[in-house]
Amino acid sequence: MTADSEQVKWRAPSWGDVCKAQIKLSKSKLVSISNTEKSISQNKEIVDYEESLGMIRSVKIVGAGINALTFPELMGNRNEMVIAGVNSHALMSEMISLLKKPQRTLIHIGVINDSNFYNSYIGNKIYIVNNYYLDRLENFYDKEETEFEVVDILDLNTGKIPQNLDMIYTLPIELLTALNKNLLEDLIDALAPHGCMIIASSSDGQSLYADQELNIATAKQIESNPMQVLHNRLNNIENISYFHILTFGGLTVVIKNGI
Amino acid sequence: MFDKEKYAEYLGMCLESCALELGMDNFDLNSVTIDDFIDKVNEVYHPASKYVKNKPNLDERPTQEILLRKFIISKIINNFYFYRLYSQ
Repeated sequence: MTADSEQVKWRAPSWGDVCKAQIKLSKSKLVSISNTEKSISQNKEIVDYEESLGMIRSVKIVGAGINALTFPELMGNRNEMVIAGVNSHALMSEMISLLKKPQRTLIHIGVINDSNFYNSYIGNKIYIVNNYYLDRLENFYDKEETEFEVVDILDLNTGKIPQNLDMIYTLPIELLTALNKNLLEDLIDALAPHGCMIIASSSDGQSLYADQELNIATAKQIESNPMQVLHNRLNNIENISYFHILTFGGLTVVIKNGI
Repeated sequence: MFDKEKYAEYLGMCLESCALELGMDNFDLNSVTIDDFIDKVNEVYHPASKYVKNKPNLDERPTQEILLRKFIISKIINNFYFYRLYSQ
C-alpha cells in the first residue's frame, strides 16, 4: 500500500448538505415540511398576482440573483438551495428570538414568512415598516392577522423611529440603499440596552466568502465585497458587539451593550 | 395596514434622488419605461457590469466601490419595479 492510497479522501460538505443536516438535527416550530410547502405555495401566489397586474418579470428587470423580486419565483419553483437557505436562516432567527424573547420589535424587512413566528416569539409590541414586505405579509403570508403597528418608511428615514426596541429584523440592501444614509446607525441608536438586531443575508449570496466566478477566497475578495462596507460601519459604532454567523446566506447579529 | 400610495411616494423619492445622481436630465418617473430606465442606469454605472462580466483575473478584480455600485444597481432596479407595481 502506497502512502498516497493511505490518505483519507475528505470532501468538504456543500452548503446544501450542511443546511439539510442543520434542519434535520434541530427541533423547530418554524421549519417543517408543512411550513415549507405553505411558503412555496404562498410565493407562487405572489408571482401570479404580480403577473396578473401586467408586471414583466424578465431577467433584465428582476435580476438573476436572489433578491426581493426573484425570491418568490425561486421559492415557488422549489429551488432547493433557496429553500435550504431560508430554512437555515429561519432556524437561527428562531433560536435567537427564543433566547431574547423580545417585547418591542421592529420589522424593517422580515425574512420569515410565517405568522406563527410573530405570534409565538416576538412578543407584545410589533412595528412593521410600510414596504413590499408588509404587503406580502398581509396579503400572502400572514392571513392569521398578527397585531402590529405600521411605521411609515419615510418617517423611518427622517428619524421618526420607535425607540427602546429590543429586536430589529432587517436586510443589508435596505440599510445600504436607504434614503437616509445613516439608517444603520439610527436604527442601532433606537435599540434598548442589550437590544438585538438581526441582519439577514449578510454574505451577499456567499460572495463575501469566496469569489463566485473565480472560485477563490482571498483577503482581497473579502475586503472588496459590499458586505464589508456594512461590517466596517458596524465596526465604527461604539457600544455594540456584533457576530457574523455562518448560515447559507450569512447572518450578522448586533447586540447593543448594557449601560 | 399596507399603504401602497405612501410606499410608492417613498420609492419615487429614492428614484428621483438616484436620477439626480445619475445626471438624468428631464427624468420623468411616470413616462420612462422600465427597459429604458435600466439601460440608462447600466450606461451610467457601466464600469460595474463591465468589470464583473469580463471576469478579469484576480489582480484586476473590481474595487469595493465598483462592487458596491453593482450591488446598489440591483436595488435601484428593484425599486423601480415596485414603484410601477404600487403606483398602478
